[in-house]
Amino acid sequence: MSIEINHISKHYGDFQALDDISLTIPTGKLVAILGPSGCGKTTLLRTVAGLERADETPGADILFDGVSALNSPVNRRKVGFVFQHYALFRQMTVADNVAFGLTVKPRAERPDKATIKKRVADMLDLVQLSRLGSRYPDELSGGQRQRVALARALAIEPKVLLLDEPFGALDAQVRASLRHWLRHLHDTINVTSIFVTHDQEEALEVSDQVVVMNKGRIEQIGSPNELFSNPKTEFVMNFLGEVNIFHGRFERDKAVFGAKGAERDEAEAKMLVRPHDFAIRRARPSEGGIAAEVIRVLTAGALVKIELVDESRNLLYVHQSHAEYVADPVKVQDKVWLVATSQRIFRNGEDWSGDYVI
Amino acid sequence: MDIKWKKYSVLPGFGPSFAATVVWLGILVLLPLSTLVVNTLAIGFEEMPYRVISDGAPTGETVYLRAGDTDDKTIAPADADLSAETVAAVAYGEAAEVSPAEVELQEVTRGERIRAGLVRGFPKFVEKAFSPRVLASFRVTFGTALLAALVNLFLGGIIAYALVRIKIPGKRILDALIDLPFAMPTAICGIAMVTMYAPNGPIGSLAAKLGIKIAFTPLGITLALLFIGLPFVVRALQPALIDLGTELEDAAMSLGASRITAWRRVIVPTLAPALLTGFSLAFARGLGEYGTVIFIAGNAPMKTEITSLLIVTQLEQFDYAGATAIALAMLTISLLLIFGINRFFSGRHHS
Repeated sequence: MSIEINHISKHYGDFQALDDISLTIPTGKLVAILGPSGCGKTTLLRTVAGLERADETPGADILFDGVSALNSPVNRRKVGFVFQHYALFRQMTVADNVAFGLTVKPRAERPDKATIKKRVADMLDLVQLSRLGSRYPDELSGGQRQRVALARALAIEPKVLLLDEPFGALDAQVRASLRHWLRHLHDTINVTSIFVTHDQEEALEVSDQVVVMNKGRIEQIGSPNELFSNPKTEFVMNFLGEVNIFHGRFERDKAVFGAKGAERDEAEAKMLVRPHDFAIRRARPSEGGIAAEVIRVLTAGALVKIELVDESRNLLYVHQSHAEYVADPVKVQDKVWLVATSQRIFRNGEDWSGDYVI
Repeated sequence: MDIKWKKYSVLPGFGPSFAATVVWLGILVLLPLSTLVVNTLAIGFEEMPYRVISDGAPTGETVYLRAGDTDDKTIAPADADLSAETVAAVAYGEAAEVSPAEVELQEVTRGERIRAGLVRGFPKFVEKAFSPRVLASFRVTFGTALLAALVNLFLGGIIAYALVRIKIPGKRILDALIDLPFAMPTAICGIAMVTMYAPNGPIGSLAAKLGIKIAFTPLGITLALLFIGLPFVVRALQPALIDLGTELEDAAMSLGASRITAWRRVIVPTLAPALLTGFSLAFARGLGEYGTVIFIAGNAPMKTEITSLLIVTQLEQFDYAGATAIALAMLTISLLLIFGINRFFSGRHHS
């Protein structure tokens, strides 16, 4: 089932949570909506589910397989919704929780008891909790509870699965393992899914497609690789991983960094360099570079992380592989030169590919 | 129950606070209530049993006399030897040595006295505590308290829901109004209510036109108890509703439940402990309420007389044993009811 979101806006009083969002999610894909808190991602998800009503603006619609769902209430939309804090019914057993969506169906559509029981067992098998059916939610760990919530949402055979920060309340290790598990689960059941997260690593690892949102708007849509290697805005590049930021200005359609004096253009120039896109040189390079002093070297971890300060005492971060580091290990107080092997320049936040001078 | 006395507890001052709990409960609750039992027991001891003695030998007959009725009798103590020459007895209130033939009555042993007191006391207790008039007052009291608590559970639930969910200016004033029945002297509430609902009052006269009599009927009592019990339900439910949030409702509805089903299957069971607390408190308060009710009740015996008032009536007639007998019966029934309600519902609820 594909989802098509057309021109959806949402106001809470004066605050605009969603600003003309349009988005298409193809059948069977797992799409992440990524953004900082307050960017409107959860509102968008709740609007798709029917838990929030979008503003009534012309052209606004939400289509499931081409059929408008905007006016059908949440309990008729057949969406599976997984909440950040699980929202399990605590006076019911795990099995009763999973069966809930089936037992509340109108009498004519309701499966018989044996079918419900079978379906519950299948669902618990799917989330690998088949032996915990008779437990109560407060007897389970956080990760187990979230899997029960997922089984409960899937039991109604939803057309789409919506997950609102599903791993947000879990600790780092459980998050990481559930993340991979969710991806495998999605590959098995193949139901169109949207999941909301503020964790860029989670979004990049799990999803087929990432939608980056900021201040109620979509910044960029693309595959994880596309977003990471070709960010269209400063916000996207900044949000998807660590960056070093250099401020500059525009002079006659040329971005100028590091120079002093000269007349100013109105536009702001920013150069963003990822920590692994810096090379460290011992001698002043002919192509120019940034003079910096090493203040800290962290060798624990997959990468060697080096902190430096430039001449105006701005902090800079460089990541090296262990092989690079061993070839020429820098020490604290070493005076070195940094050369950017790859950088992106943004004019007023938008990608800019014109001339520049460093 | 399994009490474990831990040598070390992370709770600071657990020992002293537990001791304080026991002492306070003892002094403030159990001790006064135990006097109820003691006073009620006195019912059987208003008259003392004596063996009738004739010509120095017991006739086998026993008479029961009040303290004042023995002044003109010659009474031998329980351990007196009636076959002796003379017997140390009490004659006309004075100690005297008399011949056994003069002895009219003999005291019984302490054990026999206590047994007789209890055996004779029990029917008297039943007669006083379960007389038709008392039973009628129980019906009025328990009936109106139960009805009021049930209605309050519903109305209070709606009010608590509104106060938690709805955002309107002046909500805090509404919220503060809820506590008024707590703060107002009950007599003032009673007078205010009777002014409103009496047949010549503003609401009472309207109701009278419709043929409904409010004041001086069980309906009036129920209204007074509604007023008194409301804050208990609202205040018990409010924190639970705040804690509940909207997520469970959202979850139930996203799974296909209608709003009513979501409430019936998810929200109400989740709120059950708070609902039960509110109901029990309102019901208990309704059982004991006096000040508000007596003004509006009319206090017609067998019809609108509540138990508390009946007890006061007994006290005014200096029938202390009668008053405490009714009180003891009332207390026992209330305790069993409230305990039973809590047990029944919490047993069905997973904690």
